[in-house]
Amino acid sequence: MGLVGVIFLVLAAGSIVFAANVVLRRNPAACAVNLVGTFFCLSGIYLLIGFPFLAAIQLMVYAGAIMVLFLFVIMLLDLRQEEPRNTPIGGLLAPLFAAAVLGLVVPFFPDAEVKAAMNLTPIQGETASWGGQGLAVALFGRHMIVFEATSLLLLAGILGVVVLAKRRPRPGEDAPASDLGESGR
Amino acid sequence: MSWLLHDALTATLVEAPEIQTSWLLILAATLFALGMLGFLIRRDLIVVFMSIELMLNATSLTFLAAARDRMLDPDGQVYAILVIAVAAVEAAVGLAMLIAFFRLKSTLDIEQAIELEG
Repeated sequence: MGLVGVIFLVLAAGSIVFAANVVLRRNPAACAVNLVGTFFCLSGIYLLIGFPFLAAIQLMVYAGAIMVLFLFVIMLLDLRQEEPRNTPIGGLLAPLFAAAVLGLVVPFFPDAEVKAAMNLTPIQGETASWGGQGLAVALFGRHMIVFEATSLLLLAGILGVVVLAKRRPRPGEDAPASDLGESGR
Repeated sequence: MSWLLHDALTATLVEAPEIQTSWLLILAATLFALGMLGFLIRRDLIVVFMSIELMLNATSLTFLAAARDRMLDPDGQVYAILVIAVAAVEAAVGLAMLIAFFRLKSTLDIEQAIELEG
């Protein structure tokens, strides 16, 4: 196995370990930091398999924006307390369920069969470069409608966040307080 | 010079069939299963959201694995970008809902959310 394979295996193992830490750690801030580790490893894998633009997007949007949002909420709500342990039945059944799903999916993954099942035939030449040109042609050409719909989705998201985060005065309460409501009580 | 580097990188990384598609798909399935596990067993709402992010990442890795198999088909990258955009909106709206929930209950324990009234 050459260098590329070794780097891939290291990144894959790292992403799985970080993801397991996200699931198993009981401190939300530790979970967030481990999630950043998963995103970094996945970004490296994207770079390795020939998608440098997606690797950059992964770093900037996920590891940059989304994780900062998560950490901001964790700090804002001061979530330092650890959650209580689960009930034994749910804690036992859920891993079994996840393992069963994984065990159902993975045996179908020999390469030839997957390619036959997904009908993965190579497309024609001119877009087959790992520059951004083919991506731009696809995104602003064939997928223009979807791209514009994404802007509508973002607008709806902004409006939704404003509506949700607005503090409504409670019945029997005159002026809205400036703090986080009942958290300061 | 940069073109030389570009060609060398393309030859090394892209055309080297060392990383098989099945490895990528197995990695994606593992990440998805881990995210689903977290979604099912965790009681902290913010960690539940993180598990959803894990599952979305697994789907976008699946898209990219398929796209790579089709000579770096740009359609797969477009879908991955859309998944990332949806994940960003989901995180923003979800965290706003989470803050509203925290105002109401002063906790993020998911078992406090079993009733639909405010």
